[in-house]
Amino acid sequence: MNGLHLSGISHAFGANRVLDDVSVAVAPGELVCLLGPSGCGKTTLLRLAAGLEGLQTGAISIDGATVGDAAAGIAVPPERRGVGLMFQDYALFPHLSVRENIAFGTDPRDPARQAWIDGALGRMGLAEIAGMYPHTLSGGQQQRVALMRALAPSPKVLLLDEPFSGLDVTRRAQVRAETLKLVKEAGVATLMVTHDPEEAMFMADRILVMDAGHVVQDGAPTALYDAPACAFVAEFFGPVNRFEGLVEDGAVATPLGRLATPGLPDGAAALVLIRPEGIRPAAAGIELEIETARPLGPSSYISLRLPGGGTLEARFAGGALPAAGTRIAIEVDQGRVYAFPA
Amino acid sequence: MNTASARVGTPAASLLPKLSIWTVGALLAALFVALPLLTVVLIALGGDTEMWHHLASTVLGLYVERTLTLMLGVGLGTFVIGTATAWLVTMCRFPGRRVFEWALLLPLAVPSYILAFVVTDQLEYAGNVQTWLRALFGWTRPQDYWFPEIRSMGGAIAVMTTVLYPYVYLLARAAFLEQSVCVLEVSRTLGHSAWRSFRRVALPLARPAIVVGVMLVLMEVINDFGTVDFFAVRTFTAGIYDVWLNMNSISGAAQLSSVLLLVVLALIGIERFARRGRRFHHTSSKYSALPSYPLTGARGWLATAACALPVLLGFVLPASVLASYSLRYFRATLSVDYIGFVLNSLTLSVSASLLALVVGLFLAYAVRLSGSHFVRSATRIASIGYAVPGAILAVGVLWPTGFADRIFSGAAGLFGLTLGAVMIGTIAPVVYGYLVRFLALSYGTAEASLGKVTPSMDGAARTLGLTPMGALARVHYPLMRGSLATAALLVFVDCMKELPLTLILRPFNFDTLATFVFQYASDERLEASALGALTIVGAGIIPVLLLSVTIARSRPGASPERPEKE
Repeated sequence: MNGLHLSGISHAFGANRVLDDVSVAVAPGELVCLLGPSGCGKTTLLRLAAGLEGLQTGAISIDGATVGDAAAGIAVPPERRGVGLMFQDYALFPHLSVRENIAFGTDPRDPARQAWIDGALGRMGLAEIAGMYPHTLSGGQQQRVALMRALAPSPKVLLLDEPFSGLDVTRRAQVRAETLKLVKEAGVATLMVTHDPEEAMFMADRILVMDAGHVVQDGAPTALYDAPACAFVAEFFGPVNRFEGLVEDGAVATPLGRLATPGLPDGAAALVLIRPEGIRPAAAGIELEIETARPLGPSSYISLRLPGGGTLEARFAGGALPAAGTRIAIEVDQGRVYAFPA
Repeated sequence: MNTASARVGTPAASLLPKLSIWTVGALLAALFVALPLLTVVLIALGGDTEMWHHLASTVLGLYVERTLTLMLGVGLGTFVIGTATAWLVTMCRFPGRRVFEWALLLPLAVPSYILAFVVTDQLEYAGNVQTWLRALFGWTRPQDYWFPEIRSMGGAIAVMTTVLYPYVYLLARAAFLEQSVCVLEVSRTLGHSAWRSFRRVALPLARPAIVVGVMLVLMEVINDFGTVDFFAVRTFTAGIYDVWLNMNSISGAAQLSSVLLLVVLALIGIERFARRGRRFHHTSSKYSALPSYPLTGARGWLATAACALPVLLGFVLPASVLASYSLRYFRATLSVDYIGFVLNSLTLSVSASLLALVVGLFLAYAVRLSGSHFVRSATRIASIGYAVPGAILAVGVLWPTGFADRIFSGAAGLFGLTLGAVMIGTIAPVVYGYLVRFLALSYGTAEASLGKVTPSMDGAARTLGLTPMGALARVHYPLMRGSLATAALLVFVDCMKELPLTLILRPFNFDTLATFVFQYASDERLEASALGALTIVGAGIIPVLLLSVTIARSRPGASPERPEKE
């Protein structure tokens, strides 16, 4: 039972239930992402794990020791849990220098930790700014200081609350890679919260998708993208084309022809989702008129006019940009088609 | 039983305040502040209606008319001067602009009664101005020429406007600085001139702030006793003193106070409404250097004169007159017990400011830690004292302290002891009055500085291994220290200047600098009290300096100062 275990957690603010019987386990060295739209209870779960919020229902253990159990009335205060929490707004102490911020949770008489701090400052390229104050730092520097401050006391569990949301898009990719490297080196059980699916897929060994206080799917990043368990997950990971209809002989009739709906009984109402990259140009097939065609760099954005009205969104990889107004033949990649009960 | 058990676990249960130390404390503080106000209303309701009919048929109309005229005059005057000077120094370039940015705040250091004495001293028949005019034109008798009577309604409006406009200036300036220049530039590109942009964009955007400023001015106007008494302007406040001390009717005074309280509530209502309106200010996050329209030649000097005049009249004149009198009549000053008055003022102000700091800090933490609506409302009640005129508080404080005395002596009687008045006749009622009146100041500052410690900083400190007390010592205290000192200082200085409350609630034969100056100068003995008045003005300079530093740093986009490191 090493690492972080949250089991049967439910939580409500007044009448508003934000977590409903959620269980999460994070092994040492593993990075688990809680992914979901804003207000789905992700941050509350982190605060419960850190002990900053009182546990209402459920139990929490860290490295086998119970730190919180609502039924047994156990509530270890945050300062004795050995968790590092990195806040979305970083929460750097404005009256302390970079070095003092990072060393805040460590024992100044512990030479090993102090040496670790100095080494980390050097490796992270923060040595020159060690004496500076938080407000003089760039967003990326503040992020690194906050991360190092959380890691400096060598916690057993690291909690990251939207760690990249304060950065502009151009810096995000680089800081993400750095953070992943640092966290993996530390070998700590890490639970990260984000609302950005791309970020979650990049960072996580495992992703838990949350919606309205429930975990709706738990799996490896590729599994979530390729085999979403429900329409919510499919739509959360990227744009989709939606078609609705009744299942007849294991398929639904759509403007793109009959699409298979495995697992759905005949006569059921079905929702069929197709990712834009599931629409491919073909030598022969359904011919549609191109409404708009715009280059996106590695691929192009194509919007096609459907016969019964409405449009179909597609991504074509590379190649020459087809002209708007012309007609093009397309085919559907069945592997990018998902069918769910409507 | 049924209803009680049904409540458990439902949202209704959380509406009931939990009895924590914060809830109880906030409730006590609110009661403590509300007590004098309730007392006033109760005395008024319990008083005989005959007195009320007498007042209503004789002086009430006059009081209403005088008070409204004074409020209208000073409100209009401070609006024009405060807004115009704020616009000039923030948006235009002219000789001396940088000096005026802070110098325009200086009159705030001069209590209006002190300016009233100085101006009267200069403008009366034997004063410098008329003497000089007579010498110039060869007049010899008062009948030879006409000269305006300064001790009048017009004089009171002029004097109060001159020392109170900085409230409007301060808030209007902050509002103009906060405005994104982009908004003004958009207005210019849409074809409006600079002047039209000011009227159609800048002024409406700053309006909530200006309204707040004018409301604060009006609260000061109805609080004033020294000026209206000396100028014989019969306002409500003057009336309360007259009915209480000369007609010896506390219920009559309480009845007048209750009517005035309605005005106060209206002012608070308008002020809070305007503050809420300030939220839609920041429509764009882009800030660039302010345009600074250059005013050259005669227009530049006109702007200089417009800014110089209020500073000269409101600060340079009183300060220099008082300084020269202090030097010339140094011996006379020391023949009165100047040192004793200073010590009395210090004792009162230090006790009140420390007490206000402790209570203000407690309330700030209560709101943060409990976060309940109940505590929030209690705190809001506890911080309305700033708007209540000293005269009303004086009426309301006296009775509860007398009541406390009776309880104390009753309790002592149970043990066979005889106990005289513990509170009445001591400085306790004065400190109580100060606390009620200035709590908002210390609470506001404590709340703002506590706001600098974000909840996630608390969380960070805890997860990094600090106990709650540890977080208080290593995060809260270092971050709040400076602001708390400022809070105590602001209350301290206001207590030093305070007159209407002190005048009534002070122990017999106990004088502070303010009461001493008021009594001596009212008797036309300004010379002997000049040093005392100068001391009050000197103390008043401190917050002005603090304010000018703050306002210089407050511009969005300006690089914040690095926190001091020891």
